[in-house]
Amino acid sequence: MASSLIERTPSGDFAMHLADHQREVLKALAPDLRADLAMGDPNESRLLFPTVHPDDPEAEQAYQELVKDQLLESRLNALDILEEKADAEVLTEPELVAWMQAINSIRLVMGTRLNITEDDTESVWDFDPSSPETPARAAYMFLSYLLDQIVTALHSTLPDDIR
Amino acid sequence: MMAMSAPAPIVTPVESDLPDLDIVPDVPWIVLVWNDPINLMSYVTFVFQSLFGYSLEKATSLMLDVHEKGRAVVSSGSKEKAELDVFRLHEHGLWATMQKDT
Repeated sequence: MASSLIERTPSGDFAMHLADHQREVLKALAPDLRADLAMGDPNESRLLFPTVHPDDPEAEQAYQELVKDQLLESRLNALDILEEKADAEVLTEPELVAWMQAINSIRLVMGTRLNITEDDTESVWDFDPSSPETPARAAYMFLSYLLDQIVTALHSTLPDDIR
Repeated sequence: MMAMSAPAPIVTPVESDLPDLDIVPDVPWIVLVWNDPINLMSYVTFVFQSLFGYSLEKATSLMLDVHEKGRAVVSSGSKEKAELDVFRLHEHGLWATMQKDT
């Protein structure tokens, strides 16, 4: 992993140096998230739609009625852009932000399903080749790596005084 | 509009001008972000910077509080502001809650 996957171009866009098989992972996983969002499994998507007022069920219901649809729409919009631009060589800043949000949403659902714990980040590359979870874990690790690269690339868009 | 030339007349308010005592004063709300095992440290720091305009030092320190102490207060203000901040944090997949500042 010598060179970075993402590079800021002189015009302020982002050149995406992803291999075809890496783009295939994104295209394969995006529909899974769309299905998960449609199904709305409260356990697996608990990090996508967290509780806001844990001690006040009434306030919680009012808040969820107010924003749940907006939050779902925002996630679907980001996912649309990830799918539409999965093969793009160059992304604009808003498109890369959408990638970031969509990829993180996919990670949240996958990580919850895989029961990822903080300790897992220490031994991430110790895959057991015989485990049925290995392909999903490998995909999860790739998304984590890609997300970290996106964050590094987007860091250059922050205002000078806080960078 | 404020006139600077003449002193303002002193008016004794009639009872109906007094504020309704039933109105609860605007207690500030705080927005908390809680630790989870999935979100990347670099990502959480970046989200705090891009949403709230925090310096790298402040955003990193908040992220470490979340990671090590389990939670951190990341913003505060009116109920409406807290709700908006919570929504934007949720859009980015962070586990945010809000409560009245006690």
